[in-house]
Amino acid sequence: MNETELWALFLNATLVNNFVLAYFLGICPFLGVSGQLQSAGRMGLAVTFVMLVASICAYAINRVLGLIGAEYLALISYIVVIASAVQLVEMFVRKTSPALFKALGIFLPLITTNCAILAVALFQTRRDYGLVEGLVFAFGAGMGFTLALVLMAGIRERLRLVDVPDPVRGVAVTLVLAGILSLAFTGFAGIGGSA
Amino acid sequence: MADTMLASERESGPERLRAGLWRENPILVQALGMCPVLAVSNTAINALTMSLATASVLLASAIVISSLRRIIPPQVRLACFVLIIATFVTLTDLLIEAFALELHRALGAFLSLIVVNCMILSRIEIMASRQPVSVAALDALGMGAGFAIGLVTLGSLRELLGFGTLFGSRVMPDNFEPWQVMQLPGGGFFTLAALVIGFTLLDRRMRRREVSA
Amino acid sequence: MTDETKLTGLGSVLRIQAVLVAIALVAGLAIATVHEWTRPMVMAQRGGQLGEAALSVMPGAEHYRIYTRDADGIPRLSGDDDRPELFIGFDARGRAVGAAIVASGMGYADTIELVFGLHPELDRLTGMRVVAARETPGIGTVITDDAGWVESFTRIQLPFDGQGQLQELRVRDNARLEAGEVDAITGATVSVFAVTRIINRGLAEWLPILREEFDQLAGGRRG
Repeated sequence: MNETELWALFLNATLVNNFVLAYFLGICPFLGVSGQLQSAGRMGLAVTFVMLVASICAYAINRVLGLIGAEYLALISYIVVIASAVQLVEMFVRKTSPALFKALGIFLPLITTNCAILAVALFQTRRDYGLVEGLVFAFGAGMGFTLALVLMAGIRERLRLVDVPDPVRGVAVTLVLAGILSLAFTGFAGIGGSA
Repeated sequence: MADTMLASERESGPERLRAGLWRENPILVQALGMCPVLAVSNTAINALTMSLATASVLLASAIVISSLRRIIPPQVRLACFVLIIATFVTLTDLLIEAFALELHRALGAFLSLIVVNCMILSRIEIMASRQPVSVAALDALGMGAGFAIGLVTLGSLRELLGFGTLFGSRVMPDNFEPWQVMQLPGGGFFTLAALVIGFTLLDRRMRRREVSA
Repeated sequence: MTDETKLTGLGSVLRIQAVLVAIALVAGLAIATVHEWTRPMVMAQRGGQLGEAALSVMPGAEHYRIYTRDADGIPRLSGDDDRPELFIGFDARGRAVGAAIVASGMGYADTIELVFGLHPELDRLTGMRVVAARETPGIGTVITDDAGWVESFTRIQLPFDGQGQLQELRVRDNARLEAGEVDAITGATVSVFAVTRIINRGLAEWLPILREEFDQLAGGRRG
């Protein structure tokens, strides 16, 4: 893949096929955590980081399983390896950069079993991405996730001052907002799509 | 949250079965486990396959984990749970691929994503890892059925309004213009929001009636 | 958690390891068994579907042979376990009437897998059939549902430059299409471009191989 195609791949993963708004992935943190702008941003960065780790893990697993002809063990291997890798990275970050750990650390164990993380591994396998393409895809997906989370947190910060009818409060209003955001994002269709 | 957990631990199997269907319906009340399923809720048949697959994985894992609950060391219980769930997801995936290739294609990677469905892990952690097999199984059955009801309703609505069909056969009059928005991801969010609101209103009315009776 | 870990002695650490390993072993065994059991069924169905699609893009073909590339990139007759990559179609009298190539790539929402047919002269397409796609319903699905558009692939001439080098197919919004042009569909741009790109990639990969090997694969008898 050349540079233009990688750029298109990135845009596609971030905007056109946004994990949250087009694939409904990572809805749980989206509905639960996205109340505050700042923590939404941090959460997004943590997810992006874990996605990059997951992408590398998945690439390595696919190579190994392909070699021994046991692709059917992929799912079970992704789960175990990604979880362990995140734990290792967490220990490493805690030792080397306490500031970074403070900013991202509390989210790391939470998001290891997030569907968006596993989806990166599964999608990149289904689409036969190489190492570089996989990393670009993971970065784009993470940025898209962050974007959706931050947008949502911003809207919800405003929403606190608004008189929402009682039965709609909570999950329902978040879903309606997500629907509107999702429709807005369909406007990006075609960007980078010809990659 | 802690209170409801304690209350549900004391309940018998049949009560747990009912709880999953209505009072603690995983989709409509708890808004749990929607990540991997909403994406394939655009038609009734996709929603049905997906929820059947999810329910089978939940039931099988609950039975196995509940019978192993004294053997699994608490320090690594989450790892064991995830390992067992992932096994059943892979098995389900292989079986659907063998017996319904078209559906397998329509569901794509989302079938594998059942493994991180938070609904499954929460039922395992709350019920199956502490309760005898019979209670755990009935709880899983109730939650699985409640999940299926929520999801198939969602899929049916989206198919009905988005295509004018239900399970692939035409039900709307010929002059019906399909609402294409229902087939877009946004339509999924809107439909689910409408279902949640409708459920809340209905549940409240029933409770008010119980109080006045 | 940390307290528990400190308190547990060597014995229970071993026990924890043993339980984990036992569960992993049983899990792996169960998956491997079911996989062995279902794989022939899946391959047969997949092969059947691809074969059906392949026949539909090779006019006049009655039966076919399936090929997969070996490690050196040379097409060999497929075994039961191989992914079909190339079909050579034969008519009732055993003459080769064309080739069908299996190709896949990223569409709008997910991967698209398709089969396209090549005339034995290797100068034009004879058809295209999408085998698997998850495009936006009602929009991107024209690549499977728009019969007129699908049919237009039966008459696309491959574009070559003066030296006989293969050029890429292009998408054109034109009433009269020329050689190497695929009809655009308003609203389904992404899916149409994706199909075109997938075919281009398949052609670039296979045309050189077929120019070398087609006569051999066809058994020396072109239709």
